Amino acid sequence: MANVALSEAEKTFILHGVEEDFRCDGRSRRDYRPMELECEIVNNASGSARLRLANTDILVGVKCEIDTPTSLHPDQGKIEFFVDCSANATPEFEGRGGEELALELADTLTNAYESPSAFDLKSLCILPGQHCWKLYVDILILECGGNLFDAVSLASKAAIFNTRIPKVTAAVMDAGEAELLISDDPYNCTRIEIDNIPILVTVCKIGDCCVVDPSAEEEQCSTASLVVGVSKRNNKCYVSHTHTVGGGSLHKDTMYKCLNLGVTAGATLNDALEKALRLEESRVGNKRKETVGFLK
Amino acid sequence: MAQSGVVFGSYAPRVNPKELFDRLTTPKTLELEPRPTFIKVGAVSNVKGSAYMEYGNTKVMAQVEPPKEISKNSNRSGTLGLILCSVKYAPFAALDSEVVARKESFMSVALKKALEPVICRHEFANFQLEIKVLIIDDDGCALSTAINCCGAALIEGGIPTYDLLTSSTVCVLNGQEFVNPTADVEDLLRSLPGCDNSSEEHGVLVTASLSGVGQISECFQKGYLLPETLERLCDHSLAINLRMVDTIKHVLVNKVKQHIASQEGEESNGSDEDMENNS
Repeated sequence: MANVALSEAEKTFILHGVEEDFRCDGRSRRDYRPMELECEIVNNASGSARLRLANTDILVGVKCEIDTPTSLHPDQGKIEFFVDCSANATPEFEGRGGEELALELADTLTNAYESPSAFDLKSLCILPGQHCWKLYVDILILECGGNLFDAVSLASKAAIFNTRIPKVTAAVMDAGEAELLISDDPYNCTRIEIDNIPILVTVCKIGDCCVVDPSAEEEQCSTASLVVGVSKRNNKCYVSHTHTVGGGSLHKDTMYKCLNLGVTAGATLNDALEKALRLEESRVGNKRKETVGFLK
Repeated sequence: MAQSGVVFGSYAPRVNPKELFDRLTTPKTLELEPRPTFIKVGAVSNVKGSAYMEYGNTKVMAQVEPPKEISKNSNRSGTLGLILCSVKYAPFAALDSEVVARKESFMSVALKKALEPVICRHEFANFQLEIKVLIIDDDGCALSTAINCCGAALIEGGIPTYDLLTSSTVCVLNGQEFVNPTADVEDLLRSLPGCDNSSEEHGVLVTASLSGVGQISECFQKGYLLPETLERLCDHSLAINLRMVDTIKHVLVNKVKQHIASQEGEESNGSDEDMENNS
């Protein structure tokens, strides 16, 4: 990820802090940094969200287009993730520098959303075998301050929550082909169920301890982390995706410890996010709100 | 699939995944054993290290190119060597092209992650190591077979590693656990959970481990699993990895024995050709 040059002494300082359960910014090992979340800030997108997690800045836009379902899954819609690492974030992303990371982020999200229990593509189907909605989730990384996986997944979930898909009012049959009429009333729309949508939690192994939400400096001190996709269903936490990150390996027991920490953190984070989203919506309501973010 | 009301358009009706599942031979008891395996190290002569592996019907070829120096002006050089991995499906390994592209890209990333912790990268400062894998036939477990094959190829090529790398795949479908799932099971894993709204667990897990030092270099899972199930699957997969070590060790030891025998033959009667033909 973003390279921060750290000396050995600084690394030792961070390591000792983690061991004492008192990190450089005063958090404990299980704490997240403050987050700022704002929905509906891009007018041209069907749904959008901007998340700022300390120094990590993510902008997500969701667009929906009509597509034809695949022959293998005629009753399912489609979803596609695209991550763009802006060169503004770090100079390393210049040119094709961020491509590998972008691909990894997009792949991780695709894998986490793949299970029908995690994200039900059937709700995006309009006419089985003929028309479905395709969601393009475009993720822009504006600033990189560590913990990209978590930030990207939270922002994506918020943007999908914010997405409004116009209602199809009529289908005209023309020589066996259905032609769709889309409602042009911006308030006549459907929403996407987000209850089961997974979020990703990165658990970083520093020294002998595991921490959540590592900052860019802490990421430098760790050789191995585990990304866990946590999805809630019937008040139980399921894991929809796991993979290891970093050039190091983990012991079995450490991995299970990371996994359990990730699942508990994910559950709490998920509740907090959903609460925040509902709160924002109830306060703003239906009216066009004033954007507070940088995109004024 | 039952369609209510008017059926729009026409698409080929597929066999109900449920029926397909019933037709599968489900294992009665859980046997934590690898499939019948064939490994040949040094299968390609003009690269540094190579291996060919058959894991049941899955056939994979891996080759390791000799380390190359990274040019000074690229900013990728560092104190640790760079690993580049590419996984390609043979054109005749029947899969539709859309799936192949995605599989290749994610397998390359996963393979790289599995190999990075194993290779002593500090010995290749400013160098890059390119590892190429060709999947000739995919009957499930393609990723884990590729990792196994690369592990053997690395050692054959004399690349310093911390331990033998072994890998395996396990999956859960409809409450039934499959070790070393075949291509049919892996296909069902994609289509079966979608057909009813049951919140039943399903998922696939690939682990790669260094059994000697008890480290997991890669853990890749997708699907929908309870954390407890995931831990159980992980234990099973690690048990298979441990069994796999013996096989690979045996092959590598045999290779060394052969090599020594041929060298001794060269010293005694000056021609190693005859010795190799005899053995």
